[in-house]
Amino acid sequence: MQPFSFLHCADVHLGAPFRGLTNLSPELGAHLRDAPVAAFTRLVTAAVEHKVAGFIIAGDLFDAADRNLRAQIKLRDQLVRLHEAGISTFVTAGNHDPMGGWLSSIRYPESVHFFGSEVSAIPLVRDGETLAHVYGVSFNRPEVKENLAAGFPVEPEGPFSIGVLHASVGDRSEHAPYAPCSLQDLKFRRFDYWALGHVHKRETLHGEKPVIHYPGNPQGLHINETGPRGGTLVKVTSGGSVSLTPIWSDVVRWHRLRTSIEGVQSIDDLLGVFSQTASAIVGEASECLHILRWTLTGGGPLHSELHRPEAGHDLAETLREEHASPAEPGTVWVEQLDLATRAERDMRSLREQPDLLGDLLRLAEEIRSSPPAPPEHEIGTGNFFGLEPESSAAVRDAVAELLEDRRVLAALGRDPWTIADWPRLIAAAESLAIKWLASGED
Amino acid sequence: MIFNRIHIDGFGTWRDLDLEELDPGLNVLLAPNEGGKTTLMTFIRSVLFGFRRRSDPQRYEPLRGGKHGGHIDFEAEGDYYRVARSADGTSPGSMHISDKDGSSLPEGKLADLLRNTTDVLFENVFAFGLTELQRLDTLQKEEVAGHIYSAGMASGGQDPIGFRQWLRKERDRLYLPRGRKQAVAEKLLEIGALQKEIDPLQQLPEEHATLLQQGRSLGERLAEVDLIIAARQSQLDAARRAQRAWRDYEDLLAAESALKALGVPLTAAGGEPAKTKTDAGDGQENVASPGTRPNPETSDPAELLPPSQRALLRESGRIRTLLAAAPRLRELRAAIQKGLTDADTANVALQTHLKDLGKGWNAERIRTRATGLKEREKIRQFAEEMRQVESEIESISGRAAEAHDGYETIVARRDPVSREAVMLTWALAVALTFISAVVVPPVARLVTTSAVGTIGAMTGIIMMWLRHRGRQQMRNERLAAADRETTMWAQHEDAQQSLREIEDKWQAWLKSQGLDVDLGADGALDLLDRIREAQEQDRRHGESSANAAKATSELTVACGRVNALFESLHRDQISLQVGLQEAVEPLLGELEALQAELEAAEDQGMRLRTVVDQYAQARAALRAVAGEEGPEALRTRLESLDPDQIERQVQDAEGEVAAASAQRDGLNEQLGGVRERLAHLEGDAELSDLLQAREEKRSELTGYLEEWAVHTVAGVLFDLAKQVYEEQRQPEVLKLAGRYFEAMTNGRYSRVLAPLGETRLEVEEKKGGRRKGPEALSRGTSEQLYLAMRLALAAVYANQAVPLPLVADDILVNFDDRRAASAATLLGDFAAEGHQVLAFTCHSHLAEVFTAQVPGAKLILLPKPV
Repeated sequence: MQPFSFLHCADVHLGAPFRGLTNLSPELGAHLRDAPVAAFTRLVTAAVEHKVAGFIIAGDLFDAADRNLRAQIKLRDQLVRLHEAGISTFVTAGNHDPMGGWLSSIRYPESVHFFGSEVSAIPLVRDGETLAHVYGVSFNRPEVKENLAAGFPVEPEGPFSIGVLHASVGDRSEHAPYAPCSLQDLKFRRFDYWALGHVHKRETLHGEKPVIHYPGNPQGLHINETGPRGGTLVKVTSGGSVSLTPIWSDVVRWHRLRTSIEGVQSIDDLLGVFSQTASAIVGEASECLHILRWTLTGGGPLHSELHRPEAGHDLAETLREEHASPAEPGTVWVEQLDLATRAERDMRSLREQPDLLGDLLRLAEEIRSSPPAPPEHEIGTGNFFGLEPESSAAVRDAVAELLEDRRVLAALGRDPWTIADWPRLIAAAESLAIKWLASGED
Repeated sequence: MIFNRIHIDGFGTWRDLDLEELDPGLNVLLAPNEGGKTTLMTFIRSVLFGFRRRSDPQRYEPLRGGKHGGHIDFEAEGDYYRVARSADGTSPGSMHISDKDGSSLPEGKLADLLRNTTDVLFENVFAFGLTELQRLDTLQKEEVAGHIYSAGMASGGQDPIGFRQWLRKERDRLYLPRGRKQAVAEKLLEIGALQKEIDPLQQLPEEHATLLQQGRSLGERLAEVDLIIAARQSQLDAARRAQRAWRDYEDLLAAESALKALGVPLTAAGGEPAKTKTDAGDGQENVASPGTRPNPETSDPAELLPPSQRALLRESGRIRTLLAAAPRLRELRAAIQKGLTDADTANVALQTHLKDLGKGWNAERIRTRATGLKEREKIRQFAEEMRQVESEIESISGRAAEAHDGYETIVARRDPVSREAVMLTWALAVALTFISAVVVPPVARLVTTSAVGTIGAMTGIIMMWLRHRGRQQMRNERLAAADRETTMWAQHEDAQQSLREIEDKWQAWLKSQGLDVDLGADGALDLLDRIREAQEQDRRHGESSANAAKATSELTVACGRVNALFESLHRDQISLQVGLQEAVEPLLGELEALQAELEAAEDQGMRLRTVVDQYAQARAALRAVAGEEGPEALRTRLESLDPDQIERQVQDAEGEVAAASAQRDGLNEQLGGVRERLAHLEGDAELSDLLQAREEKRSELTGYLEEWAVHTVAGVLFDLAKQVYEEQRQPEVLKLAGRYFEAMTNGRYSRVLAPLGETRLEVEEKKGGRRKGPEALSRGTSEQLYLAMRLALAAVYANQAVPLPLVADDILVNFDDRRAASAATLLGDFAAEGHQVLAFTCHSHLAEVFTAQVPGAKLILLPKPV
């Protein structure tokens, strides 16, 4: 068997906007707009440079719902590059770009192979020699709930077999459970390599034959997609063994930073802490524009100054001016400054006081320990069994007034209940109550 | 504080009233209406807190005499005290407190014992009547309300109600369910507006596909239109070709007709084997083999003329050359005549001259006689030499005579320095020497004298030498003059000799020339002139004869040539026998006739050439215009057309081409638009930007939602905490009041509560927990509530500060029997708990209720006021 290599990527989401950002300058906006395309372009460049035989895209190449023509044109341009370099491309459609979402008006090079809604095999050929067989299946609608892995043969054709699948493998509550299957479903089939997509975090589920791998997405799109992102260069030896090398492609990198203000005496000291972190971040990847969410925690003397009206906003602006003016590769742009600090007072003693505030904080603690579930998710929660505390139910019902507003649902484009980050909301509410109801120090 | 005795000195209607041995528990004081119950109540308050102001009706100045005031004996904290109040001119009057022994105590002792209870508190809580019971506001006074509401509400007295209001305000600022101005609503509108921009952009893929389809179809239509244009253009080209060729075609026809008129077959003129209608009609087939057909562009059309004309044209050079020589012929004829005439004339003159020269002179001799310059020069040379020698002789003779005269003169001349001159010189020298010796002073005399003498002597010597030399010179001159004269004569002789020699030579030369030796130089010259004259005539004669001969010869040759030409042209020759001079004119006449014929032939040739040229040009032009169509096809087409038809064809075709072109332009424009739009769509980042902008707005909306949610959660937490508080942390007063109220209402209501942060009361029904405010209660029930509140306040006050006797004035009048009984029982129980109660009533049945319900109650019948 001839040694060869291929590049495996997924969840490119070309043309998808960046989520959760406000106050973007036009330059930054333009940079972000082109970031998924730029990241994909880097992967294509790497594929060409490494002279890979195949380029595998395991779903969610773009967001069909956006109907972004330009994104698909840019995609075509990159696929043409691969074609011109003699690299075959294998594409499966995922939940974001199901088969119907591809624009029929755009012509792709003939070396680009699209899998249909039934599993099919396409040989990967170089110089007339079949290097591998690539099996794949596409989503034919956005919400595929059945096990697509079941459609793959148990004994695939050699000399090397690759299964391309956009799926939620194993128990993954944080991802939409599309095309769910178990790890066993994959291991059971005698493939050499499973090229997975859907989970945006890079992860190797199984390191030996069959190698089962999520490359993660080539470009993080929001604050929950921190750290380096890219695709995977898969090298196959003549013996059929596989080695994985990450190809980092992100041009915008997300970070979370948590800093306790305990013992920090001045805003300048705080800025110093930030500068050190920023230098370290830029040092790791100077070619990236870094977006950072800074959460200040703990209690300390800076608390009251930080909670002045507009203080958080001013601090964030200062950081942007100092570290990201203009925002460009090699700089760190503070996306959000979360003030989760508290006064130097003892929450426990406040909570134990036999007064209104004490009662309020105890109730808050109660809700925190048993957070309300959104209405449609009540099944399986304490509420369904009547075990949910009254307080949680009351909070949910109150919040539902807005979150159930159809206009909000329409405008947000996603389930408004996803903003109900209860620990955060409750902590903020506690903070307000303490400010108003606690006597003394504050 | 337990009142043991009340004594009134004078207060309102009361005078000297003494109520002794009051029960520490429930005392029921029965008095009829106007029985002074209220006055008694006011008295108790006035003793403890001072009289009212003078204008106040409750001041109760004594109406029936006695000093204004009185005293109360009471027990407090285990001791007995008396407090007395009497008028002293001040408004409150003077207070005096003393212990059980009558010792005065400081004034502040009372306040201490009352634990600083105020007049107002006492009046509202401890001393009340039906009026007070019916009015809630009597419990709302600050001093009182503080006891009801504030306890345990929040640590440190923060503003919970303010907090709740602020939360509500913040929440409403962010969102109201149907609001339009709130932050969330505005953000929703902004997102809606963006969405409106996004929606059409998300239709772009459809537009893209449609445009691609349009582009393809436009391309196809363009190709079709291009084909149509090409066809129409070809028609137009053909029509224009016909138009352009028409003139040449007409020329061609004209040339062909001219050729025909000239009798030249078209093939001979370079034409194709024509198949024109006319030719076909004639049935003539002018077929010329391609090899022999003359090339009209290069061959001479003269070849097409008749042979006689062609011969003429061939000889045209000779004919013209000969004709050009006509003047010469005529000259030659004249020259012959002149030569002959001149020769005759010269001969006559020659004979005359020969006769004049005399015998011995004939033409031969004259011809051999040289009369040239050389001879003349020789003669002049001789003449000149003789004249020079004669002139020299004459000159020498003259000079010899002068030399003789010179000698004679010298001989006659005298000595140039005379003797007298010498003598005179000597005399002058002596005289001067003398004078100088006398005149000159003696000092210089010697010198001067000797000098003068010396000079004089020398002068005399010089004079003497001069005279001697003059004589010598004269001698020499005489000798020289004689020599000169002798020489002159010798020269004269030599000249005579030379003259003779020259004359000899002259005669010898004449002789050598065959001339008469007696001839002088002039005579010889004259002879020579005459010979020369004869020679001239002889020469003229010879020359003229020669000229005539030469012209004759030339003329003969020329005439021969003309005849030769005639011969070659097969014409009759002119006879030269009759005489050359006579033949010249007929010859020339023939030549001129020949020339006229030649010119006619040339004209014919020229015409032919023009026609052939025209024919060739027209054919070439047609060929050039015909292009790929070919001249024959074009010609065939032209034959069926006329210019008007052609013009119509051109116009029609032009119109069609223009229409098709316009269509093509339109399609091209459309296609350009489609392509431009496609390029724009494919490169347009607007949707990406808008999607990003929408995400930004969504983030902002999320921020508002979160903020709203935080306020909402805080509000819910607050409400829940408030509920807990209201349920579990009501003030003691309200808890007690609830118990008392429950007892009085026989369990209908279970709780009295004050909502958090509010100074109002609510009661809760035991069944169902419904809450209602006092205003929703019946008159009796509300009086029961307020009674319960007062009892509770009194109890709490007793615990917190000091137990004070409760003085109630006819409070059960509005209660039904059952509740009145319950209330009585309650008051009994309350009294039993250590709270002294003075219950006034004017109703004996109520007094009986008390005594019936409370066995230990002490009934006191108040005396009628005096």
